[in-house]
Amino acid sequence: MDLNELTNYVVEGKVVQAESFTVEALAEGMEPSDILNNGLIPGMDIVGDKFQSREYFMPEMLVSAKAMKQAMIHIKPLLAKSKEKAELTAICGTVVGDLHDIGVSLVAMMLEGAGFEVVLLGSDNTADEFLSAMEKHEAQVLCLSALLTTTINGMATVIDRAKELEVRGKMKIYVGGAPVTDQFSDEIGADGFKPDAASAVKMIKEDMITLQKNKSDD
Amino acid sequence: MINNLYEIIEIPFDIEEEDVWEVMGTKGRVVSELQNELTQAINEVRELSAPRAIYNNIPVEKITSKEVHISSSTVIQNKFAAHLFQGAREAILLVATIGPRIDRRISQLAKEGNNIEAIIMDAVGTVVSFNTFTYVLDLLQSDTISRGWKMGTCLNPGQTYWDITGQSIIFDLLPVKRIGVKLLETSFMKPQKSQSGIIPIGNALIITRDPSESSCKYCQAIRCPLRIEPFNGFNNNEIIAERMH
Repeated sequence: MDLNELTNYVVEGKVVQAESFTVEALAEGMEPSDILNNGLIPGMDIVGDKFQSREYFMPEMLVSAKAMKQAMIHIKPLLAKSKEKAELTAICGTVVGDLHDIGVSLVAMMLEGAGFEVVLLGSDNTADEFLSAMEKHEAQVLCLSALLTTTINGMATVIDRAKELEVRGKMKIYVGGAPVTDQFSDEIGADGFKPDAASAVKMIKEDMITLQKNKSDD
Repeated sequence: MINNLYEIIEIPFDIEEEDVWEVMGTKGRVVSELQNELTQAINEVRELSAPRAIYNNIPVEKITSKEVHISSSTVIQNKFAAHLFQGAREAILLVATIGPRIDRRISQLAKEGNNIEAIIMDAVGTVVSFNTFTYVLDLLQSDTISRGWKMGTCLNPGQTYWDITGQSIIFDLLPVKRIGVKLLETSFMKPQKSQSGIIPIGNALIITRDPSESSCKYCQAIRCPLRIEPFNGFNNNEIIAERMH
């Protein structure tokens, strides 16, 4: 079976076809990780690009995510059984005092689409809550979101706390939300900022690939 | 200082699917693959919404080129507000909400990993919140006209050139707890699906509200997903001059 077909089903948001293809592929003995890495994730990558270029809007992205989710219902239990775990884990949430978590939910959904294991903490998280979750889930990526200028400094608090606990070097910290800029991200010592979910996920993926390449070179 | 305090506890609302699509950015296109989720979300939001509003009319004491004094101790320091308030006799302080149950349901869906459903429900809740606020604005405009006065454009903290910390002015002068809304230190309103604003009214008001116009063109939140028309630029004077014509 040609996994490009599955990729296209995800891109086109063909939920039923994506699920049937996955079921059939598994029945034919295809590896779940192969279906995930070479069929579903490339589909979501294309969706991210289309979202970024404004060819797709949120509903199209949601439909593609739905197609992937339906396929994952069949893949996830098999991955768990074979103890194949996603290589990268991300913790996502809004900083303390910030209640608006829809943007970060979108990032979480897209990170899942990119093959990450994602723990979505939701809204209003303290620095210690974020860092405990990072430790507990052995995560490599922390995504912080803030909607307002009144809550944005909570991001700096998380980064400062990570330095204080001497864990900053163990993680990449990304920031996002309406008042965040590149300049702010640099000033507080974050690892990156992008103005929308799709470009943020692309940046995180690229950073992780570079990081893994550097590690293997060492 | 409470002169004319009103609560509206029964606000009719309707949810048009096309409004939800628009909030999600499809520009009116229907994405049929999400129809089940949308129908489900609309049904739930209908059940969970409890729209209410509270408002109060307060005399405007003084308007300078940079400030609006709406009580002896309350001053809005904002040039855009000062221009919009030219000729105003009173300010209406308004907060409307659709209640806390939708926030809870959205959080629950997200925590259960149902992000798609959470995002759609958030969009539906936004539509109801927006429609509730607009319904009250329309009501206030008819009341104002029936007094022989004019109503101006609503200033919303966090939008329309007014810093989000402006929320405290509204919350200091309005007993918003009566409709179950509170202001957090971070200027977030809880429930989240709430809106606040200050509206100038008066018989000699210069700049009047056009009900068909959105406030997006005066709002600097460039990346706001709910934007329905572009920001009109960064030059206050140009915008104000345009509105005065």
